[in-house]
Amino acid sequence: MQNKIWNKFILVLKWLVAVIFIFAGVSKILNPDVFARDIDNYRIFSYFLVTIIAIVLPWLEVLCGVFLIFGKWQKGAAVTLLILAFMFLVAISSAMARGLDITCGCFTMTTEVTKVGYLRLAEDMILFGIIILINFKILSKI
Amino acid sequence: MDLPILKSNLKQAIKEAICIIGLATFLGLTVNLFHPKSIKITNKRSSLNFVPDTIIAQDLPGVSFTIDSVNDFEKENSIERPLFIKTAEVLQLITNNHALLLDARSKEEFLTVHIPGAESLPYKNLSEYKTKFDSLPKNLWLICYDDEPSYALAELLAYELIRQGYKLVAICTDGLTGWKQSGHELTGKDSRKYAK
Repeated sequence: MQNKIWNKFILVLKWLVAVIFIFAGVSKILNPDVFARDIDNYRIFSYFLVTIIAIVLPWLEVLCGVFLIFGKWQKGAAVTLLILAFMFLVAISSAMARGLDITCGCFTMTTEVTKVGYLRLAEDMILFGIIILINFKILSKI
Repeated sequence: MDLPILKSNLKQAIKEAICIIGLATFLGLTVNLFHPKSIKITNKRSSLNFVPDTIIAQDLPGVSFTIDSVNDFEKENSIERPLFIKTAEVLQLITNNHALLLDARSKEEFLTVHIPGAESLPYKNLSEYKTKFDSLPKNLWLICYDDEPSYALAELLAYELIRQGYKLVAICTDGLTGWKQSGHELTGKDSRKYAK
């Protein structure tokens, strides 16, 4: 019984994470120029890498979300999302450590701009924690 | 937890992840070819598009002339994005009554300090300013600014204006900080404090 509830809870989390990443990915696909500027503002990558990331990352988010929902390549999607979430955490922490006053670039379609800061960091940490749980569940399954 | 199962699942996950990354790369590059806002893959940052000197330098006789000039400039340079200008150019445009400054920060920040003559159009609450957003003059340069070195809010507002159909849109890259540093007047509740 407890196991059933736990499984359902993980399923809900999986759907939630998938929807978040699909929404984030689509908004970036629609506005690649704004997203490229957002990545560039982090001042981490060369401009060449910025353009590549701005083109590939949104699709990666969408595909991972879709695969997570439909079950195909679910393990790969979960691990990729874990790496992505970790990268977002590192990027936001590094921007905060360097005192950069920038928008996070998480959702480029919404008019509500989220700046890099403790709130954003906390949200990403929660998301990272949820993705760890999902990975634990998926990777330990026979 | 069964370690061999975990190992085998992890191996499979890595294989699948590589396939997903490959698929995402293929889709991303293909869609980018046909995307209206496609990104040019290059190592060089595109230089900022400053308002052409020919437009700034002229004592513009009429509004239609300005729009035509900009349309020609856009056609020649395939520009579908805001232009980037500096404080000096902003001053010239304002002096000649060819520009409206738009403050992209929050209303509270605007009330604290802003550039004289600027109007508040907070990007974060744009939906609350729909009437104002839809009825901005189309015959003036709409110059967006904020107080960030990355002028992120100003840029986002500028793109929204362009999406709305406004053609004469520019971003003041110096922003409020540049305006202050160049010794120009500020206004607002705490303008004296900021001027120091």
